[in-house]
Amino acid sequence: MHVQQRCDLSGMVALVTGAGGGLGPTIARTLAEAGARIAVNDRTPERTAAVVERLREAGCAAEGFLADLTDSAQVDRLVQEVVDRYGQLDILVNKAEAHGSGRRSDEVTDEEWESVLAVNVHAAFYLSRAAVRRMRQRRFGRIIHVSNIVATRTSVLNGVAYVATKEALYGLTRHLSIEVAQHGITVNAVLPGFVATPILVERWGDERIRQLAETIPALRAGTPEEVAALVAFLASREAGYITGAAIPIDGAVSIVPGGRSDPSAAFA
Amino acid sequence: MADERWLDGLVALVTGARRGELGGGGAGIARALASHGAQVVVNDVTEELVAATVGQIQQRGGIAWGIAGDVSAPQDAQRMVDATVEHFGRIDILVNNAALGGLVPAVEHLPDEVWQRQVAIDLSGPFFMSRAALRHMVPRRFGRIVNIGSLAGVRTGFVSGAPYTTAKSGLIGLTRQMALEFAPTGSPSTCSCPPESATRRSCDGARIFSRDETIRSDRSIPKVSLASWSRSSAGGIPDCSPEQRSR
Repeated sequence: MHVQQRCDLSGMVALVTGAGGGLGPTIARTLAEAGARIAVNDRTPERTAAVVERLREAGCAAEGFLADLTDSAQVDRLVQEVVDRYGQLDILVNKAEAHGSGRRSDEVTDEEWESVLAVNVHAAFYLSRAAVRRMRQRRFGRIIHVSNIVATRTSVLNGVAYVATKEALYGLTRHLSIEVAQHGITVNAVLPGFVATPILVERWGDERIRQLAETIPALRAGTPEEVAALVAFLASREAGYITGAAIPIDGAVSIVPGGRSDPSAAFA
Repeated sequence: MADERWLDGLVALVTGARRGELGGGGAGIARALASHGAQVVVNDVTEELVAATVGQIQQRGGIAWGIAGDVSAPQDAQRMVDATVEHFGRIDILVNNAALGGLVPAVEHLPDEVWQRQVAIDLSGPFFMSRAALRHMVPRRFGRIVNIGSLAGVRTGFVSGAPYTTAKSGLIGLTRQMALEFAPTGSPSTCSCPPESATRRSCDGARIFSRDETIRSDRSIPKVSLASWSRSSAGGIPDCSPEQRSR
């Protein structure tokens, strides 16, 4: 299936946060290939510049925008800059996330809790709020939070702050979807399971990935392209009636009775 | 009747336990725990709010002690739990009831302060309180943490906004992860946090929890907290009665 044929995003402008790592580059490239103009953000100027460079090398029109997403004033300015540059904002893909330490709850520090909450919950709110203000004017918008299947489960690797904030993000998704549905704006979350991102392949090696894959009903890891294709579809006009959803894309690992508790390993 | 004192000897800390029309949930829980024999620490944000509930419990012959504090401040949370242990010698039960909800502006008009305050009280508060309590519960290999959730955490709120729905959803994740970490199997602790520990609609809170007997008998509340504490509890829902401590 060719995503660019099915999902026509031409004329749209997308902001992708956390674009530099994990699934970010693939999502940004896929949206660009479907016709969208791409604004990208990552946590450092270097990471942002690097992903812009990669996207341009792949022939995609992309520009980098800097902002600390945990600062609401900076988020407002980020969205303003994107609109100043492109005249509109149609798609927000919020992929930026903070991981937890995996410590047991009674050993999680204030700093860990607050920093994970700041990125996974507060930044998501600031971004959604700023985006909705723009999207409402054009009566069209797509907000897509790239969450994690652990939002529905538990995580040994990331611990309590990560699980709680990812579940919280789904609450924000549900609530906001109702508020903005009448304005042509959809809000969804995608929940990837075990996905073989380049950094995971590099860190884990093929053998460890193969072993984990055996515990997944699909008997393989997902690919970044598969997640990106789902994001692109949710961003398309055709997906206008899907909202308030949290969509697993995990090879059925989350519905195995007594199955693995931590497909978040893909994001280690 | 002895049967009704199945929490004899246990110490419970209940947050947000002020008396009041809409704040009656915590007070009702505190009264219920005391009526079944628990020594109850009543928390809310001011001494005045705390004193009313403490007085009510003591009038009925129960044992209660009050402590004011802000659950969303980590040092305050630790201080209150430590003070509970100092006063009664232990903490067995923590009921994270304190919450802030209510109608707020739509997301596009929602000020940072409103968002942050509700998330801090409704999600960070239970984490800070639980963490502080677990530090005492884990070494003793016994503990019960009950997080008062909301249907807003499963669907969306009827009379609440984005921060409440977001925080109450997060609370379910928090509960699930802590249940995994402190479950009886493969863990040195027996603290249990049932995933759907208690689910209520905020607007129904006062009515549902206003009378002790209602708490135990209302079967319409899904897996409600105090119903699950009775001896007849089944289906893996934790039982707070003393004889369960040897598990």
